[in-house]
Amino acid sequence: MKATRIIGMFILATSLGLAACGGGGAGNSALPTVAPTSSADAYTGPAPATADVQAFEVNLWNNIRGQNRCGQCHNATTPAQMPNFARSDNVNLAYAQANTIVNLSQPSTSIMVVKVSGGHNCWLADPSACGQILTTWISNWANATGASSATQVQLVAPPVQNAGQSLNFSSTNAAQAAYASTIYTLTSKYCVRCHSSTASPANAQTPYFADPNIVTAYQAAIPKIDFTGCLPFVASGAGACGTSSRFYQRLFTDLHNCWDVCSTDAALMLAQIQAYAKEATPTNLDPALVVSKAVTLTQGTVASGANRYDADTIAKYLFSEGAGSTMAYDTSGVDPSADLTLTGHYQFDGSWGVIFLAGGGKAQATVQASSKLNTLIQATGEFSIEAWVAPAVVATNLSDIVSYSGGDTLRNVTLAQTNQDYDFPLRSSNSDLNGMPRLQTPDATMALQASLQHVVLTYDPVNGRQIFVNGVNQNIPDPQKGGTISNWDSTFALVLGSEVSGDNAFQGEIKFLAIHSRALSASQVLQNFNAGVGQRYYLLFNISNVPGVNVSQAYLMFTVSQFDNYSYLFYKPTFISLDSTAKPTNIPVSGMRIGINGTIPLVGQAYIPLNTAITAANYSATAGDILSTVGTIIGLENGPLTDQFFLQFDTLGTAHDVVVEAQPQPATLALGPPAADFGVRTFAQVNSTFSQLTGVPTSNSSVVKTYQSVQQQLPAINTLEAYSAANQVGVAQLAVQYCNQVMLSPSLQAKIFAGVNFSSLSLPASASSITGPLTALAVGSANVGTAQGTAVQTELGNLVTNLCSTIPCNNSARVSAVTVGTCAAALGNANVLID
Amino acid sequence: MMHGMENSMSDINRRAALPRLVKLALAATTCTGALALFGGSANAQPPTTSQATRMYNRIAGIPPSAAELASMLQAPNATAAALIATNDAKFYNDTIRNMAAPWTNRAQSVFVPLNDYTATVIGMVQHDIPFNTILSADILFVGDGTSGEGAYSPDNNNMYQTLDDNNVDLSVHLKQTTQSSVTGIPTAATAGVITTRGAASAFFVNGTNRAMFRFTMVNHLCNDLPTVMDTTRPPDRIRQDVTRSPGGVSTLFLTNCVGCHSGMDPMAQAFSYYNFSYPASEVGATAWPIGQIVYTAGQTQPKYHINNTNFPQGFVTPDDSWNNRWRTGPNQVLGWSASLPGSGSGAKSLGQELENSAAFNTCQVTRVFKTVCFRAPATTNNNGTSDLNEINTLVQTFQSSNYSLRQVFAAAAAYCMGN
Repeated sequence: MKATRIIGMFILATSLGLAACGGGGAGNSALPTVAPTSSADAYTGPAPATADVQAFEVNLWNNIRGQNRCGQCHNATTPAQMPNFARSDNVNLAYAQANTIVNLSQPSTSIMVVKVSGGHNCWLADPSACGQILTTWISNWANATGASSATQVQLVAPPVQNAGQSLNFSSTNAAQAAYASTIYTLTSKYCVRCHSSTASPANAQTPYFADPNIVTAYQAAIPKIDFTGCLPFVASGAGACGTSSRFYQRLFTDLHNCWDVCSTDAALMLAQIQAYAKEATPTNLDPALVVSKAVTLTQGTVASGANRYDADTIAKYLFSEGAGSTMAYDTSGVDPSADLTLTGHYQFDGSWGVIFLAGGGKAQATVQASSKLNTLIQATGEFSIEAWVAPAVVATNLSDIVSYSGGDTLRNVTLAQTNQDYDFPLRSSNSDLNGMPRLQTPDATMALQASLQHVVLTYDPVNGRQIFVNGVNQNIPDPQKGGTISNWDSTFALVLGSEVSGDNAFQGEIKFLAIHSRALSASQVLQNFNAGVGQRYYLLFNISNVPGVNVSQAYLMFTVSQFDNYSYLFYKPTFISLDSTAKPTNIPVSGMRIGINGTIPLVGQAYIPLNTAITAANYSATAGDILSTVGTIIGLENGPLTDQFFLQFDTLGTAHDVVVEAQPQPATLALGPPAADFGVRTFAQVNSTFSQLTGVPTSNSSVVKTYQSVQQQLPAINTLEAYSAANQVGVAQLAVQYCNQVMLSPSLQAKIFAGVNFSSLSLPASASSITGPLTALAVGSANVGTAQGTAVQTELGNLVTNLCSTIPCNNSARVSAVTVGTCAAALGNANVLID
Repeated sequence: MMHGMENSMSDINRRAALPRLVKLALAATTCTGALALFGGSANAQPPTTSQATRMYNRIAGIPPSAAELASMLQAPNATAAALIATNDAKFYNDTIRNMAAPWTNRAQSVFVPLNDYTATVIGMVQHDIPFNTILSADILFVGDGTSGEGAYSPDNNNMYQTLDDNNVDLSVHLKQTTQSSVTGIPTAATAGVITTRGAASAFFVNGTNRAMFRFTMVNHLCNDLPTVMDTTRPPDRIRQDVTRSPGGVSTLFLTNCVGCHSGMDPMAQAFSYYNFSYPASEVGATAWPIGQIVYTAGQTQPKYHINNTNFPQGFVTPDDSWNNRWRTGPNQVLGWSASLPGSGSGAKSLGQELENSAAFNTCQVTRVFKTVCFRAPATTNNNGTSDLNEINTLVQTFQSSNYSLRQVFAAAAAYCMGN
């Protein structure tokens, strides 16, 4: 996202605690727990009074007024639950009610969305999927009326919590046990008939905080517990600890399914919440540190959903269902929903996404639901498949990422991976029934990387197939251009992660998938790429209390998202005030660190080098003052529901407390174990030594030829332990060549074998004539006659004897050859080689 | 050492020029007055025949001639005697060349053709040019033009290949010049061996130029990246091409990748104006005998911006400014110079940062130690003592001799000359 885009998105809320906090709604005491089943009849009431009412009718009302959705309760007849925005008798009246619970400028924050996302009668098993679908419908309404052009993010101030002085949720067994021994004693008894996966299908209602599985129950209970006010309570035995918890409020305020007297039940629940709070240990932070207030991820303002082009989206998957789900819901809002059923080896990513693991996994829609793809795409003759994918391996032969196919050899269209290429087989009038020949990104470009990538396949008859990666058209000529796709098969199924057969398994993550009934233009592809993927929040770190800041409602705002299952992404720290009239005046900032759960991680602190000042010149009420454009990741600890963040500064305003690093121990050279202080000559040294001993220059052409051929066979390092038989063979070859050159040169021959006449030399009888000089060559003339020299000369004499006994040394050629061999033995032995 | 060549060599011709030997011996006498302070008692005496022979073998790789041996035996002390051995052509043609050759390629192979990197190292050692300018000086050694090698060309290695092919004595036929005069790179952009064609063809070719930083660390500070990993440095200068979630597991980044990149990327930024270009015909090659270093002043190379969608929130390189983040944290033990600021722009100032570190000094003397002692410094040597003090002594020798690596060779050889 570009900096200028954030600027346009902020309309700062000066009235805090907006509708998003409303939650409760009106008249909730008799909520049904049975999912509606029937659908709406045809509308026969008055016509829409305005264009906006018509947009409401088409985009939202028609989708929700059915008996299988909101219309079962929020209707005009029975039970006529207010607000009756889903009444079918009069669209204009429904419109008036709907306007009280939607936010067209930020659809995801609409009361309707928040309510359903929180578990209020979702018609699917996953409330977040219903919330996303409602968001889509409301967004479509807003788009139709032009409201989306002013898409705004209203920053909402989080609760004021001291860093390191608040209680945190933990994922440990001890924390679960604490829940089990306190709050769970009530929920497991009085809530289990509905809020449990073991409840009858007619009654089952998420969240399952009363589930018999304590892990499931604890995770579901966390959002319903609020520790606000607990620290004074724990410390002093007084305070309003836990009164903000939904567990308490549902009984005390909403009178929701009390088992006895609501006030009594609520008091019991509060006591258990407070008992649970006592079990939690507050984190301690050095009071001298300069820190901001603390905030959790979910206390941030949602920043997602803006600026995507989704006008022609016919299927959309966010994969936000989370661990344990076996379904991935189609949140396009276009019926029928092509929901995916997951099987095999897979897991959900906490930061939204589904990861297909080694061993193969698959997410597949029914043929009936998938047929909407065929129907809607046939109507236009063009389409786009858009996905955010993160391949885990780059060496694989044909892995199907997204496919609309009927088997390994029959398909309509597929997004596939072959090593570092993206493949795009498509059935058309110019292909076979398997979509071949496929379009493929060129090998050389290595377009597919083992990182998160935005990939879009588009097709229209004019431009043919196109592949976009990270917003860039790969510009691959398509031989199928001009064909039609009227030969698609409507009995195929949409499948992710492999072929419908389970073959061609893909390893990696799919974080988002959208199928459009139009070919996205290059600018639309780029727009969606720039919009990013996943749920993002604006986290507001309150710094109003820091001395020297002197700005009302002052915050350092980060854009934050869960990056993957192991970390959070923080980027674009920005100073901003929720007071639109406030102006900063030269506030120094340096050495900023991100803290989590009362500690400051050592790793990932990208803002330590930050050293700047927040100035009025750089500040605007809508965009704030961006302090840095780089991002960083901070390791996840307990999870996005409970991890609490804060900021620490070396300097902020007039507050100053520099974190001093511990000094490392002085360096000491790593010494090796005792080792021999002798070794062998290496290749060049062998060559030069042979040259020096024999007098044959290293530039001798025959020597050069031999040396070059055996150079890499000679020892490359001095270490004796590394010396091998192959080294010795190379040494012998080189030694033979040097000795051969000696025998071919009368002058060199005369220098080494002074006075020896080889034409009349009798071997082995006169062997000492050659073994004597050669011994001197090998061990040094001073050592000739010593025990060492004598031993060498004896061995050389034995060699001559042996050679001449095999083939008689009865001619000068043989004598010369034996001399060369003996010479090579003298040169190539340990006396010469070992230094 | 069993080879007693000192007597057998009397009848073998040697190329060494006696007048030069005398000159060096005298110089050695002058130098070793100071060196003797650190050399220990054994070094205070002339070497024995065996000791002299070993020193010569270790330095030159060949046995000494009778004349050379005699000169060494007459030297006032072992170090002075060892310096005589450094006059042997084989010291430069074999020992120094083969010490430097692995620095010039990624495979760290010694079996590579002669190139300007290796030749420059040879020349600097031979002419006692302060070795602590090897990563920053505007220096180059080229053929003297008397061996048919032709002129230096920035786009090929032909000159050095010819010198190699013709077995030319590099101790005689190399001459000093400047890179800026033959490559067109401004003096301010030269950085010793870093900006030689040999180094560029190995470490600026393709990739992201991080190889130049890594191999400079390996070759001149004796620390490969795993030994300097520090995950606690700020990751703000890690480029966009480094995925923060390799294989979908960001823990890997936080525990491994960040350990090197947080320190490396801010320093490798110094190379952002450099590239090594080669003809299209060479695409896919593993060595580049043709092609040349490219320097684009004020313009970062495209390679610094590749794969920028791997982590769009990563650092975007705007210029060639660099910052040594290892001046704090565990890697301050590398001993960075207090007289340097720890930041700058371009390869030359980064080279100065590296070559003025204590780790650079220790690296160079330790390497020399290994070359002439045939072993690494040990906790217990043949005398039953640690070699640590000797390494410290060699570092002092290196510094007090104005960073003459030749002097370090002599001192180390004297230490390892045996009893």
